[in-house]
Amino acid sequence: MKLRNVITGFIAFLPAMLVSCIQDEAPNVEAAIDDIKGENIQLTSIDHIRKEIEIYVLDGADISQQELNFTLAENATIKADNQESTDQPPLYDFSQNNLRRFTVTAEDGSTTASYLIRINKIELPTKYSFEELRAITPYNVFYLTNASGIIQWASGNPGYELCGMALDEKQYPTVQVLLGKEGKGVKLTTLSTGSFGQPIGMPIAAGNLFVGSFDVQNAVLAPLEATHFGFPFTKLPTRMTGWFKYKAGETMTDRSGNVIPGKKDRGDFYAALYEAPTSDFSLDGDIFPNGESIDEHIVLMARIPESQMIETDQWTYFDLEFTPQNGKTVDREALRNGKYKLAIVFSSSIMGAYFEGAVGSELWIDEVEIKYEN
Amino acid sequence: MKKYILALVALCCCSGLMAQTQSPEHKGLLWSSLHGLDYEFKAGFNIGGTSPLPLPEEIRSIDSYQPGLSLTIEGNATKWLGVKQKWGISMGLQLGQKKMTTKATVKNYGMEIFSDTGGKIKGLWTGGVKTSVNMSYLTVPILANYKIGERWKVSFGTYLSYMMNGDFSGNVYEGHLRTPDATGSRVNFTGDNVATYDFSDDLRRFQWGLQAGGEWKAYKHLNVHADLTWGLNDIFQDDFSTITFAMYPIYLNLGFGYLF
Repeated sequence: MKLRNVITGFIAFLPAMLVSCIQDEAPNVEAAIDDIKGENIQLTSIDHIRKEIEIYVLDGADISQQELNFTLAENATIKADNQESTDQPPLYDFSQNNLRRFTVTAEDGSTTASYLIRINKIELPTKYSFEELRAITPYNVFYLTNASGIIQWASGNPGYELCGMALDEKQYPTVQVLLGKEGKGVKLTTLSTGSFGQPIGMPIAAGNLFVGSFDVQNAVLAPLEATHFGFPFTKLPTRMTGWFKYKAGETMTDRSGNVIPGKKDRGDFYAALYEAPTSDFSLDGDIFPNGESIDEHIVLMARIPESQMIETDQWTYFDLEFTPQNGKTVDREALRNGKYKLAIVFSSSIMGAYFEGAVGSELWIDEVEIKYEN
Repeated sequence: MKKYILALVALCCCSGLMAQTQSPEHKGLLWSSLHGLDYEFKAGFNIGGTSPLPLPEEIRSIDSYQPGLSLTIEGNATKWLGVKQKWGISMGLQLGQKKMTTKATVKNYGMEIFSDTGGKIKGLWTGGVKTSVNMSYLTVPILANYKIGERWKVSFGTYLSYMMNGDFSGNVYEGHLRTPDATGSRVNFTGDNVATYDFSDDLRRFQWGLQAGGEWKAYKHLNVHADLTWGLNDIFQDDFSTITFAMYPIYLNLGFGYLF
């Protein structure tokens, strides 16, 4: 009896002892901007490493009263470094200076982070040569324009960083290569995500490059929603041209990492003009649900067909026509008013968004152009 | 490990049988008894936890605890001193496991996850952490013993352990990682999204601590015992910095013993 009491006592005592030892909760040490939303914002691109945030608004937008609703780390606070008399948070005046510095302070005051926020009014360029990098490490980030422009290409590289597989910038899925068709180019490679990705149904990462933004917050939770495709486009696109090389990896695997016998990987690229009902609307990675259908917002699309997506180690020219989709036509008036966005996407594995592909598949891309009518 | 235990159990059963088949006045035991020496074989189980002490402020709650079945077997010898033979010193050899699985909620808990290539992701985790600890030890307890009356004996001393196998692993779930530091990017995890970790290779081989317990003689040859062991050095190696606080094994060993 006594012994049983001792045992019971101890079993009850141990967790009780631990629970009673729980200390008072410390104030939060996190200081970061996780997201920015607001009126007229077409796209927000956050570089968490360099703490630079690019916000894109349409040409006619009034940036003297730009709404910025910050999503911050829990209980953190934010302040503009040089406050303008016309600032009325969450409305900030960027009319005098489109580049302003903001400081985020953690709840416990120990951590601060200083961010540069720039409001951009810029049109999407239509020629892409992949010559210049905005960042080399820890992974390559491409300028979509030249260095004086601001728009950058988005990729899944920030997501791949989370699996800890890449030891340097050349081991990421999306990298610059010295030997492009002309000058430098871009190489997209489907890579393994190792022991981190396999258990959560993401055994591979396809190399991708797209116009838009990558939301690392949801990279693990909802990877399809983490890719935001598209940027406002006010012209009527007619053709997408450029050069590619492709090599399929050896073994196709599904999202559980199991081999799919008899199936070969295939690269993919396309440009799609779509209706954006609101300024912050964008298509995400589920643009072709399960690889079969097509998102209902798409009006025009140019996409490399299976017959042309050949394996080749020679630079191969492509010239793709934009064709109507979903039985829709372009409203020219709405087009001029920025109600449409253009998504341009390249991927080394066509089903990469669903984590199906072959490790080692490589898509090289260079000298791409979107041809258009004004 | 299981092989070791089975072999030792088999050996002890055999010797037990031999002790019974031969007369209790076996010459060796008789000699031992005359010289104040006791031999005992003990079997039991460990229940307890491997925990930081005190709990650091990063740990917000302990959500579940499963002790697991951790068996121990031990052989020891006690030399009783003096004429009254109240005091004695004992030394033994114990094979055993210390196991537990816990789920805790943490806030800004520093962690690093290594990939297959040796690359790593690090940051501050806020959310759930599941930890499984399973360590197999070869332990030498060295104790002072004191008899209280005919049936009770208490003991106190130190133990030295060599960890033969150790597993310290788990996963993080339902929360967010701030990577690589407090001003980095937030990565959300919910539902089936878990990230696994394994710090088994960073466990220390040699561990030691204090032990205190009591034994009650139920029959002439049968004892029941309870011994508390309290680790005094961190289970992790000194150069391991991912977990910012030291963790100590604190376990209660319960069981019975056969006194020859």
